[in-house]
Amino acid sequence: MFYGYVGRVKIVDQLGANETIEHWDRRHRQLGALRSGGDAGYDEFSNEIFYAVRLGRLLDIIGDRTEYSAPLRILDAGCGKGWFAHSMARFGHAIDGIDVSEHAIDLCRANATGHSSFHLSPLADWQPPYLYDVVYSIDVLFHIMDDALWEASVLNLAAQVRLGGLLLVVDHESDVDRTWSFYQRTRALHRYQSLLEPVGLQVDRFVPYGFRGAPTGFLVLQRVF
Amino acid sequence: MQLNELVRSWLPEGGTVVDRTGSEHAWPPLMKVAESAPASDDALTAVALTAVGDLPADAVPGEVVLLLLPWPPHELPLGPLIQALVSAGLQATEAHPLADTNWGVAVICRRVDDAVQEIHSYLDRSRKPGPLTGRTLLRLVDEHIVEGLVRRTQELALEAVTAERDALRKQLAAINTTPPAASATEGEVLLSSDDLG
Repeated sequence: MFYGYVGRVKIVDQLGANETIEHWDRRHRQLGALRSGGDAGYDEFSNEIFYAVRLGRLLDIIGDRTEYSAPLRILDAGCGKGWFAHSMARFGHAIDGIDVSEHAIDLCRANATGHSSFHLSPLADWQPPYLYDVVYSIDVLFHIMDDALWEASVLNLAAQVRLGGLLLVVDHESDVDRTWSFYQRTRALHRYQSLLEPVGLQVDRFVPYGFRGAPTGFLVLQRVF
Repeated sequence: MQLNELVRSWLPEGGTVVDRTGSEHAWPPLMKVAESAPASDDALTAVALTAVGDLPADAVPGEVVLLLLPWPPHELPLGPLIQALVSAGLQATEAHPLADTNWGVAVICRRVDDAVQEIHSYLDRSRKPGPLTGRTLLRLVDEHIVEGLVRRTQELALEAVTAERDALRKQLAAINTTPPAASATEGEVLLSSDDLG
């Protein structure tokens, strides 16, 4: 069993589902606008660049087409304080953002613009009465420690994608699962592939962030049935 | 979306617009304009319709057709339009409202072969078709049926909410326009805010 540390102090076992919610709500309340949902190991300025780089990668994948009066419908799964979601709304897309942090969702709603709406929901539970053109989840799934909940979350996000639509999940480009801390567990890319191909999502490519050598990036899947 | 923005996003620079619109529209300067061209991803045939019956039936497999329709998107004659697309062997790959022309809607279609075993995905910039068989076909039908149910019921739900809102507005307006004396019962003393000190 893995244990996390603060300095030399052993603190907790891996976070459970409820502890994960508390952890992220506390982090969103305590840390700055970008560090809270970005990389807490970077300052706000580095996080500004980190966010901008990821947004560029995201646009490379989604494309630059936009139509405000007939927008693409997009889900930001684990939107945090809404940096990416607000960008999507400014680009003219219709964006739903979901997150488990009440504080983050309150901020998202306060700063909402364009076609956007924000909801307090775990990834595994969000089931609106419509499908999405694009579902993305940025730096969220590797914070779900429980494998069963991770699997339920990935499958639920996949179920929201329409035929021809895209599912973008972020994880390490790796062949093995690895637990990094009490709140970080990356999964091998073949785990996504074996989970999602039977339900109609085909792996298209892996787009690395290309930021400071991190092995993280977007796994791009398209619904083909 | 602006018409030329759509054309530029579809064609590479130097691509060809086969202009069959009969209009004076100024196509993007970096595009060639021709009366005919071979079917290729570097060319699209622009056709303006005044009626659904004008839809071209002579497109060849692989040809990309840009249909320019005179209706606003919420008033498209849906049934006849879809029937005409199918009859002409055209698969719509994307559709957009137009912001800067008298045409209300642009639909980009590709003439598919009559076996129709491929589907062109609307978000795939590589524009490579995928197979339209088996579970892909099943998915298409299932989305169509279930989404249709949700859309129809949502329309009714929206109407109910709108009716409720309008009724509340009327009640509010009636309250705001009723003179204070008219709302007092006989013998009741009305106080203004001044009376309350």
